[in-house]
Amino acid sequence: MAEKKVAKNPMKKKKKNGRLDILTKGFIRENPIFIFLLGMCPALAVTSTMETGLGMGLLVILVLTGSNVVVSLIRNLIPEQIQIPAFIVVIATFVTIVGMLTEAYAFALHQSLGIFIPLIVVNCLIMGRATSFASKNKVSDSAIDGFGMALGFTFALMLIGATREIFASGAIALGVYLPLPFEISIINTEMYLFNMDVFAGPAGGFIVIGVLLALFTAIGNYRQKKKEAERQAWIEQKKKEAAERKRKKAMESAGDAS
Amino acid sequence: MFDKIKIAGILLVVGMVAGLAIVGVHTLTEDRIEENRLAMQYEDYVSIFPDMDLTNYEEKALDQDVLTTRITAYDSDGDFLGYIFIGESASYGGTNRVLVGVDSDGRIVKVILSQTQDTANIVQNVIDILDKFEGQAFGEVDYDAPSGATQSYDSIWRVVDAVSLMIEGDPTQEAFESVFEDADSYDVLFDHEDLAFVEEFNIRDADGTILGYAYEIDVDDENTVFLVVDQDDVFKGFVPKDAVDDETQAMIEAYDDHIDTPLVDIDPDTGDILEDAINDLKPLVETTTRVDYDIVVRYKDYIEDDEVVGVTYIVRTDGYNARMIGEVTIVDDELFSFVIRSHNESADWGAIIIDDGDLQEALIDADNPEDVDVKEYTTFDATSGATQTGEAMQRIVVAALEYHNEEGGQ
Repeated sequence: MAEKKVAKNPMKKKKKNGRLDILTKGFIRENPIFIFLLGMCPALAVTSTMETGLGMGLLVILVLTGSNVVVSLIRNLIPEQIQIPAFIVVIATFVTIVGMLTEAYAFALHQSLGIFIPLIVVNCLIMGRATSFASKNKVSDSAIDGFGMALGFTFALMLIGATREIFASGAIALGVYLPLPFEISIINTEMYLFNMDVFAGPAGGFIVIGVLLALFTAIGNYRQKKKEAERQAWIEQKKKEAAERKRKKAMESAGDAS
Repeated sequence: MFDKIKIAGILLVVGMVAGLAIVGVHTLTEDRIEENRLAMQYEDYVSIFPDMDLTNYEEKALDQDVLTTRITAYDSDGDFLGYIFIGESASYGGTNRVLVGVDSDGRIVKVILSQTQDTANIVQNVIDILDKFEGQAFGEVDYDAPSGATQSYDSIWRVVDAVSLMIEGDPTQEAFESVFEDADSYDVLFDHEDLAFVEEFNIRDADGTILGYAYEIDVDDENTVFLVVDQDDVFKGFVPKDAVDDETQAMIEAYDDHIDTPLVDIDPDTGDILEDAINDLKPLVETTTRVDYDIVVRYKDYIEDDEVVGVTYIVRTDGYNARMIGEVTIVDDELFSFVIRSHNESADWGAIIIDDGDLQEALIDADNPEDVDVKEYTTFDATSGATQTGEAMQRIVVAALEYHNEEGGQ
């Protein structure tokens, strides 16, 4: 006799692997750009190519991981009423340092990102993680959270940048802005009908972000509906099982009486 | 109290640690950043003069508003290649740094927009047309601003223009300096259509005080002369703009005896265009009120049965961009018509209210044009450019009416 498949309770939360979950949640589930709409300014301004998006992402990884670590380290030393200014000083310091390092070791990227490097200071994602996570958690978890969230941010910028670049130029280049030992086209369609300049400009940024946001929202809605349907099916099954048990019990009672 | 000191102390420590970290990284990266900046600069130099010897060039700081540096470029044999002028000029997003390469023949080799904070697609519009400068001679540079990038292009043009003045010299300024030692700058004022002189200038010293006025006379296609008077309209002579031929020089020298004579007292009899210029200027001097920039000229009288029934005044003032000239006609002591004869207002802002005509109509219909609220007609403009245009239009009408009333009307 075949073993009966038992439906899992979809309402029961999966046991999560703590640190792995902190690391990966920012990638899709809590993606700063596509889910929380944080850091939209650089998402529009520096994503005309995938590489500039990647460059900005790398800088944010450095700033967010570093600032989360320092904020977590000093969280118990800073009185609550001056936490925000103190955190801003920490973030601004990291941004200044990253700006100088970029100008020294990735000059082309520095020239390309321009004003958007100092503007990382006002990226809501960074201040948001400092106040909502790093100021309440231990150093290692804060570092992982900062790194993971920044990775998700980088993934989003690269996705937007790659989409814009392919539509604007028909190719995706690497090594133009980052200090890499090579300069290659990782994709080259050689299809010049792709050359839609609008995607290189701000309008293209809005269009691509709009479409990607719609896509992520649609996937989220689909998963939500699927989860809801599973939940309903599970409830129905439980109801049937309860009714079956009740019927069996009634029949047994009737048999005993006769 | 102790809590506050403690908080201040904590913030101080955070700030000090942050400062020390920044100083440390700055010390580590300073040299490398400088090298990168220099390399970028050299890249620009070499893109202008590919044969330039980067170990052998001269750099001279220029004490000018626009131009900051002049680089003298040589090749590896030490032969002179040309100059690279570096200038900075305000634009839409901030200051643009522009490099202009000039070869030994005085022609533009290349114009480079080296640093900018303007929006990327606007910059691209500008960069696409910078090639047009290449090979052009100063004095004949073609100026064709792309739509949508006017401010960026203007900032580049200002640098090119400053280089042009440095290379060519400014013959107009030199002419004025030959009359007034302290002449430091000049304003181009009024374009005349039917007089012997075609353009009018204010000559100023370094403090901006007006030293005198000049009137440009095109003797012929090759020879241009300025009629110069001081601020009291005393004749200071005719001076040539650039070199003039012997005939023109002789015409100029014929008036040397009249120098330092009030213009209205000169009664020339030379029968040439210089005489015409003096004769055309005399009535303007007599009927003109000069108030620094603003000026009212009684241009035309309308006479019926030997009585003046109407007067047209030409009034000039500063608009938002440059000089604006209006024509105001007053009939029976009432404002009859008002038109803008010339202006240089932006097509997107100031020119809209001029073309629209509503403000002109309101100024004509108002009992007192001074009471018209200009802002009602410029609500589309969030940056106040059009408001300044509107206020200039209002000033023209008010100035004409005031002049008319002070002079006793007709």
